[in-house]
Amino acid sequence: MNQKNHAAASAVALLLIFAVFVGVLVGLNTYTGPIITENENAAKLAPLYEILPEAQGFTSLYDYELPAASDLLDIPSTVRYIYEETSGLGYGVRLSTTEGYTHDPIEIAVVIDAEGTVTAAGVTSYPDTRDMGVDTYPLTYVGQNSTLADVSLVAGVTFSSSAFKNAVNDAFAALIANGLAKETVKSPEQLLGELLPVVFPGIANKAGVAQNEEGYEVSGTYIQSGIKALNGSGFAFFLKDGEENYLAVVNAQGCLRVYDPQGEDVTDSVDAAITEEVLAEAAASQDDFTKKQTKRLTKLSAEGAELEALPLDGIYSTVVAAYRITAGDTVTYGFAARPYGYSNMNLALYYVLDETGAITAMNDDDLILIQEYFSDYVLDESSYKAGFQGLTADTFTGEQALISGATVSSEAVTTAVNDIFEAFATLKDTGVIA
Amino acid sequence: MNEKNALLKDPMLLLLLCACPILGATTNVLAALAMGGALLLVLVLSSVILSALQNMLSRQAKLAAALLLAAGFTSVLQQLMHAFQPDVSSKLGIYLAVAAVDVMVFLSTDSRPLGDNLKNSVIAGLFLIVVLAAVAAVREVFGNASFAGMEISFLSGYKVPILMQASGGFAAFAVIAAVINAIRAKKDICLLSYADAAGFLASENGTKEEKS
Repeated sequence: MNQKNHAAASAVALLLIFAVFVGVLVGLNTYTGPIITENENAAKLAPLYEILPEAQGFTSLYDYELPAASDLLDIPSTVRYIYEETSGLGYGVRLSTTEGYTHDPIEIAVVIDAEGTVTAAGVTSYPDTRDMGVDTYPLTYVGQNSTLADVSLVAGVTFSSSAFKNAVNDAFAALIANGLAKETVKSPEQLLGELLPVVFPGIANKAGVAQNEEGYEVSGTYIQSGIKALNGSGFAFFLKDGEENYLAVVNAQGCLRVYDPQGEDVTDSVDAAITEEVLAEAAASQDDFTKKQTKRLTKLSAEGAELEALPLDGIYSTVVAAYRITAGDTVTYGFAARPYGYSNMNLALYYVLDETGAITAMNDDDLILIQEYFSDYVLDESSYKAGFQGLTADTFTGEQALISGATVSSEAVTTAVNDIFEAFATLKDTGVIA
Repeated sequence: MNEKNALLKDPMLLLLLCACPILGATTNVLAALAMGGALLLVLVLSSVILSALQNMLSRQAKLAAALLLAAGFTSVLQQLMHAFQPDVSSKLGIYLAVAAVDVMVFLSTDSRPLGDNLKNSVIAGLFLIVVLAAVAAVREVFGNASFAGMEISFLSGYKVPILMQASGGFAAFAVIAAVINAIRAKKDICLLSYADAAGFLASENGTKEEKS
């Protein structure tokens, strides 16, 4: 075959191969397209069938990748898919949350019936290193209504179990907002329990769970139960006066606030006997850190400095003490904070601020808790502490608190510094600091 | 061609080709076998069609035809796997499509009888399966303390997690390639150049040293 014919033949052969494959692939796509779509849908539904084997089928109501195609509104970001079970067993919701300890996605599936009761729940993907009981913990949600009143978190795995609980809450929120499931009214006790980390952030860890000192129990005429903050930041008491329920919070300095289930401050209107009982219990049980605090803060100040304790009225953060430090003509302000660190153990941090609110010095008891666990952290303590000097509420971004390889401690320090700046601002607003 | 030494002259192990499927499909022995089997099928089918059309195609057109055939058959296989074996398809991911290019390494563009081409393709495909399975076995057993998904309990405390990552995959491949090269050197099977390695299936009589 001469060259010209060979080239023509090659071109024809290549075109033929191309045309055949185009035809085959088009035909194959027509045949396999619906099968592939069905497989993809089956993959999405597999977790729901796993927790609800008796399901007959599911109709899609919401797909997070195509939100505009759904009639449902006000869907929380953790909700990925919402399906309606075809035989009336309820609504299947698939969620993905990154609120767990490692911030990697935890995939959750839950089925809620029209009465607003969880009928099935399960975890399809769990990346966290500590096991919250992925096979057993979700089962504690079966039978629960939208209040989730009888569900507790897993001790030692509060971040991940809290993430799971919040995700189930989101599932309820999505269904209730669209009239697909009934909402159960929360009891006053539950409302007050949810109010606690809002009005007293210092008593709760980063997951928003109040940390109680082990073995602390209390009751009284009005006090039904109480929490003694594990970090020494104060107390919370759940009170009952006849039919009325209240939450009382007392900080480390004995400053009291009382709230009703609607979150209203009723300190001035409750019976004086209630406040007396609460303050007496707090005073009797509060640990005294004064000696250590004054020692640490004096060390950060000049020799012979005089410390005067300042009231922390209205401050319910990780800040447990504030002092006016007078050394000659120089006046500075010392703060002690006790934020939660690794495994809900608390750090003890001390900061001195000048009259403008800028940090002049910093000290601590221990920045890294359980040092044998955190073997990979990098910390030059003197440089780290010096890095805080001159920082103000406007210039502190959190990056200055970073300890490489010790994220939890870094976050705790950031919390403490932010709380201290806020406390300084509050004391200035109330005139305690001129 | 001396099939006994074919593995020792495998271009994958000598030229470190086909690293992509090795990286992507060898975290699990079953996925590796699936990838190897798929590539063997594509290789055999492409080889048969290429042989059938070899008289029509010029030498330059054979390369284009080889690429079209490899890509076409891989696309068909991928579509079928996606539809009928979605679990296997999800394990292989994009690496099956990428492997279409790797198949081209083994396709002969010389004019040879159909029987020869078929035999060489089968041999190359089988060696591909052997290498993929070997790398996958090392990675899964020592990296995940399991074999073909079955847990090996006595190894569970001695996992080497890095073997399950990309760097570990390359390391395992490199070790196996080094072992094969060492055996080749010991058997005194020399190659004049990398071209010999690349063309070992294309050449009719093996290397010059082997001939003598």
